[in-house]
Amino acid sequence: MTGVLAALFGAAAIATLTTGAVAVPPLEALAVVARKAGLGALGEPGRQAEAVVWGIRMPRLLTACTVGAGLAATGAVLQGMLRNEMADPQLLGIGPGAGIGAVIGSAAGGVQGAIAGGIVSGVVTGFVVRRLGSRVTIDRTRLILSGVALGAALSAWVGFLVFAADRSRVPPIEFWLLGSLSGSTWRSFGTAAVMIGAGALVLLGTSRSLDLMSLGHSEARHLGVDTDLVATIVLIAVGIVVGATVGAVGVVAFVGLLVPYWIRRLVGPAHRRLMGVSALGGAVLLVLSDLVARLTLEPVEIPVGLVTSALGGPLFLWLISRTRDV
Amino acid sequence: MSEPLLEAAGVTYRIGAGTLVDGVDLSGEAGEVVAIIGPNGAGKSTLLRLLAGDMRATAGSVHLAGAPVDSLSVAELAVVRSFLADREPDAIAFRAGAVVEMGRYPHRRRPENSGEADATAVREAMLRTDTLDLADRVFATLSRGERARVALARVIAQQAPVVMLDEPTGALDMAGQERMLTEARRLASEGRLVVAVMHDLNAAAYYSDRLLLLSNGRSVATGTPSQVLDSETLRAVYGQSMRVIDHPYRHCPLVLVGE
Repeated sequence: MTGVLAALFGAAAIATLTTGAVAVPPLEALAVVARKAGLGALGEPGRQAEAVVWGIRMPRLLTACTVGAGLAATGAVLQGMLRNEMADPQLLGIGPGAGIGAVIGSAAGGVQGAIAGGIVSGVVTGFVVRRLGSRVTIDRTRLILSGVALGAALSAWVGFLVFAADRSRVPPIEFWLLGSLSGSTWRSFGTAAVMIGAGALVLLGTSRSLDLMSLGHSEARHLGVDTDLVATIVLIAVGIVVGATVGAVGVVAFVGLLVPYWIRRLVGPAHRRLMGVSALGGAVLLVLSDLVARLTLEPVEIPVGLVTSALGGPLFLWLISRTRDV
Repeated sequence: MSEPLLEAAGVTYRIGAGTLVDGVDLSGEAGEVVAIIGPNGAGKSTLLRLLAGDMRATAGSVHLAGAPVDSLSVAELAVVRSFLADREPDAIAFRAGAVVEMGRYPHRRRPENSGEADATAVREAMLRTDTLDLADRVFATLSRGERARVALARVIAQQAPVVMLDEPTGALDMAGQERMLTEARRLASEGRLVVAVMHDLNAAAYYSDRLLLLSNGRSVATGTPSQVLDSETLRAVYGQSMRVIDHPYRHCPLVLVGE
């Protein structure tokens, strides 16, 4: 399973580095990467190839990997914690909530500011969702509906802030609401990766508790899991991960829904493995989606969120159609 | 040995204007099965959750193994008492064996625990509940009776001195009920205290040492089954005429509905 994903990932990564306005032969792209990563000389790549592959496509590829991995892992965690396969950070409104802080932060301090702001408002939205959730625990579908409503309202606020902000400093509205990897730089990748990695490590630490919580929260408490504490830790970590992704690339919907849904069927419900393989799957999905976004209407790039939504929307509909409330 | 594992005094739970549990006293020692009985809405499950430390009593005190429940952390409580809820979620994607293994979670950081002890406890619990051959089946695909047995195995694997069961026989057929309660009896005979909320008065009469009869949150009667199960009391509490006779072959009272 991981082998198939790794092979897919390799193919998508090579395609990302070699295709586009400037075509770079795979061997030359490999030579650039080898030289820059200090793995030795594999030939003499041209200066243009080096600028394109290492300066533009490599940070974009790595950003797609970390963002995809982060979103898929948070989806896996939220679905486990809320015992609901429809949970996804963006559908629950955490992504759009992070967008508010990200737009404000972006106006104040560029990408770094956007990531910082995204994290703060992502964590805050996480707690709002939790309060909504605690009131409607009996009806799990209502949690999703509240999230969708919250997300719609928060997206509107993101739009409002974008139009109110200085156009020359803040990316346009489609970046925030549909996501795009086109602005990825080494700097934005570095900041996002540190925050996403930190959040993901925390989430990994909760994996056994989440396993027990899938028996039911009350049952988990009877077995010694402090479910309130776990929920708090998870929401803070999810807020950090999702906030960082939104600050770096905007809201990319459905990755957190699609990937864990399929991975759970392949590797089972144990969260440690589920999170790890989902992260890999998320990286593959986002790299592939970004490739599609770049190449479909070349030279026009479409927002990557359109691609993931085109894939995720139908799955979500299907999940709704077969959900019976317990 | 005679120190009670459970000691509750004046336990009261109010929410809004309502008093769900009102000044209940209850104690239990190792080796006993204590049943909490009473009509629907009498506060049985609420009382059990108060005793389990799930909720904080508004007034009164609960001690488990000598310690006030309010002073025990979630993790400490899990070492002292296990709990089988009346309606546990069934859509669980873990295999039955993995569910039973989760019963060992409270012991994972105890120095005296080992992987071997975990494996032995899990195996023994599954053997006792006849669930070993279900180990590799996904929990959600099991029948209700099978799920109840796996859940009981998880509770047994937890090895807590106080075992709390909330209507453990609700979903079971008569054979399943007998097995569940025989197992509860066996847990008590091994030196645990079993506290069970029960609807079936006759099962309570046969399988428990002592009964607590609740009505509107108040304790109406406590004592041995033959002391508590009295037709006048039952009529007053249930609003239904009942007759209590001697069970023809079990040494306990038998409650019959009607005149």
